[in-house]
Amino acid sequence: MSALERLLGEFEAQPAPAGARLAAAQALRTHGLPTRREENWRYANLRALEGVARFLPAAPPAPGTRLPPLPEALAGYTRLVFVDGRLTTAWPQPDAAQITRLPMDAAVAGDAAATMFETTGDGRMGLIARLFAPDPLSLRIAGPAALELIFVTTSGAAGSYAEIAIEIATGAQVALVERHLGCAAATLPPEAPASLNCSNLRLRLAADAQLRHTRLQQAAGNALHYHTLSASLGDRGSYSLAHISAGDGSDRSSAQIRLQGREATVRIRALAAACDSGIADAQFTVLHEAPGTRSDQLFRGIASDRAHISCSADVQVLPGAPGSRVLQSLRGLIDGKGAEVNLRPRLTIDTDDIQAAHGATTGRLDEDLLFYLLSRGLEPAAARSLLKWAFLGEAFGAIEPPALRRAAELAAAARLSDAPATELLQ
Amino acid sequence: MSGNTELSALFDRGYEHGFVTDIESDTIAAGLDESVVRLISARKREPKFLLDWRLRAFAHWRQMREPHWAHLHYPPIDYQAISYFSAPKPRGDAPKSLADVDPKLLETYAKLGVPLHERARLAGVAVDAVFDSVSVATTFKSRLAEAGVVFCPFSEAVHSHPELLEQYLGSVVPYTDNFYATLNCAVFSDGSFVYVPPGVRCPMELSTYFRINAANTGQFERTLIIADAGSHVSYLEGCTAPMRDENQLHAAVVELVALDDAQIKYSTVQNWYPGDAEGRGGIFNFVTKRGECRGRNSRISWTQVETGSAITWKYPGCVLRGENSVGEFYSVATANNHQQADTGTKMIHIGANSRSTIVSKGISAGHGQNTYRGLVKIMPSAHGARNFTRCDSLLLGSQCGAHTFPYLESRNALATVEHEASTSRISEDQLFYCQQRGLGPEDAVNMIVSGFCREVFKELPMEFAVEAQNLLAVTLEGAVG
Repeated sequence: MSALERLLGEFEAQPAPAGARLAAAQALRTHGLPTRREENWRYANLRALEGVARFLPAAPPAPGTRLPPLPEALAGYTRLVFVDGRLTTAWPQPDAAQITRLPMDAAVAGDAAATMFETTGDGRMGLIARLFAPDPLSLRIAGPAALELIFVTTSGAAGSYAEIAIEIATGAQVALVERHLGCAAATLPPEAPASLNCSNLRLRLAADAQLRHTRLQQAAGNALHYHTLSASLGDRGSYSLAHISAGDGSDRSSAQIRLQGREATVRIRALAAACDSGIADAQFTVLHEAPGTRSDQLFRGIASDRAHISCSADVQVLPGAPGSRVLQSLRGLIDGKGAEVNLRPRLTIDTDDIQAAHGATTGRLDEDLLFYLLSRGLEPAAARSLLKWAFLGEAFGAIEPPALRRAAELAAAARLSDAPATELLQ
Repeated sequence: MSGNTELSALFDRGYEHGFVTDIESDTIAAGLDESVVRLISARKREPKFLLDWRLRAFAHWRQMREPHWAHLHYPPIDYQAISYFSAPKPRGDAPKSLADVDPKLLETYAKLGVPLHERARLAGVAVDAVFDSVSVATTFKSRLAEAGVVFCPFSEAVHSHPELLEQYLGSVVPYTDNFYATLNCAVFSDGSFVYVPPGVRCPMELSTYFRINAANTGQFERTLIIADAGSHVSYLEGCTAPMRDENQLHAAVVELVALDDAQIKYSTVQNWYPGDAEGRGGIFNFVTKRGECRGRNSRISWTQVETGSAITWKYPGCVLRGENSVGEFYSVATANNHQQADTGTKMIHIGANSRSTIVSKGISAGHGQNTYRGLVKIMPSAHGARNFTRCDSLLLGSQCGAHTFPYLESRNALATVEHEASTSRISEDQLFYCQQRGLGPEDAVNMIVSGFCREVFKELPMEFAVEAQNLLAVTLEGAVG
């Protein structure tokens, strides 16, 4: 029996599924999971799903279950904690006056752009999250707000699913932090079967809305992480995404950002650090659909040991988007004998009033720079570390606030073969 | 950018090679089954190994599905509606010299500007002329033979050098490679064969000129070039077809083998009929070209100027197996009116210190769609491998498209891959600057486009560089509006 059949079978065995979940099951049945042909350039491939023993979400943790320690709270942020996909924070929060919770089914039905993404390509992975997410969360943010979402799992034996939709009202400025902590590695036996962590995040930005979004994936353990993100921007909307993949296991993330409003802007800063036999596989698709839109994508990845990093950055400028500007810069560093880096910067341009440029490189540390540092008396390990840190620096620079940046740096440092000097992490 | 009438005139010179030669042909009935494969093989009096190979390819092709991953849109091709063999009816025995060749054929090639007559030796190019499914003439064979170079039609090589064919045919592009290559393996009719012995520098440029003449036929030629150790050869390829409202299929295969220290330079000016301004007619050009640098220090260089065809699907590549081997790809591809081109290259680095360079220039105009698709793959054994890719696109008009799909896959920590690309249009500022210096709009665009393509044109042999430059000007006439 295929993974999809088992997955749908487990879903149907649940009592009375309805609404958006039922529609998601129907969509999965109709469209299936991405096929091998569609998968030809994904490295966190879906064969791993066959090894998942149980798709149903974990049962609620028993009272008194010890959770992995949570990171320090970010000042000024409203924190929502999800344990195995269940929202454990009381709602509403007193410091979240601008945030309203809405019924999820209405949010799903009202977002045609995201729905289309979910029937093609990698967007279908988000449907799995919808099938099983125990506490889907749909929010409307009317004014300035800062939100921190923490995802924790307690068990490696069952799935963890989250489905979140956020609508940002006209002119609102929002900071969103998404941290995937997974399960404490020490609590899992090394031979534990792979578990599935699946999240689906849908963002809608109205005119003049601004969103600064940081996603930090630092989960330990032998888990499969599939993250799906869809965002649509209205006129002059501005979306800044910092995506840091620095976890164990297999991390596959897919994002589709639609610049639907005039002069909407997206800025993506993505970073991946993987070691051992970890996989970090990211795909970013940006659709320029309106005049004067801008996109700027930057990816930096370091693959150590036998790790595998890939980034597919796809920009499509549609005929109705003259005056668009596109920049893509993808760079990968291979730092291990069995390591692999794959980059695919794609441009599809259907209008002539355009300025687009992209660059991509893979390689090792620059020997001239290394020599320079060694000649200045640095130890080889320190010199290598310094260069790697400089390589990642541009991506780290996009992370706010500083406490979160430090957390991201520490997470990435744990995946590098040369640990950075302490003073670099101050 | 719209409505520049002066420049529209530049594009409207039309396709100069669209005439039809009125010649009696021996054309088999349309349709494809095993008997057609056997018939083609029998006409060529091929040895058993080749017939068996064709039949294996045909059996495999029947299991395959036509690929649709390319950024191309075209009506379904009815493979049963095509005649797979057409040749001018011979006048008596096979021609032993140019004097025996049908004057109408010689006249056709003269009209195309191809120097078939050996008195045109000043051109310094040996030509194999392929007309529909057969080679009709090959020049300078004896002079090349003095140097030990074998240059002859494929169907002749089958008899004169079967051992080389058996050793190398399908060794770079196997019969299972892809849908169109497999079809070619089953039904290929003729093409060119070149063998350059060890240490020989081919004394002249070699060239094949492909001409489609008959209606409702496809052309399925095959080229095999083997450069033995320490040898050097430069090969040019040109092609044209009559103007017709129906599409015609061209599915060719080119295999190159370079042994130790050998060099092959393969240049193409592709000028198949592109269809009319409304997108009617034109050649569907599905070509598989691959070279293998098998030896140490070997080098294969592909240079292509793609101005014709309604549909182009073509990715000349290099398998860099030898240590220190070098692969190069220089390309200018234009798509005007309703032309669509999905072209690029593959560089597979296997040998240590192998190097590759890719320079691709795409120009889109009218409703044309131009796609660069390139793969650079570094295998774990390719220590110290390097690749540099530069890929630029120019847009001349608001209805056209330019697409860039590079794939970089590196599995070696000691290898370096670099890719950079840009897409832009000719800006009003650039045109204004040129015009205020006294250039007309036509010359201004020509100058800007020439500068854009210069990096590729300088890699072409002189004869082709001039032709390519002129061809580009004609192809892009009227594109800036």
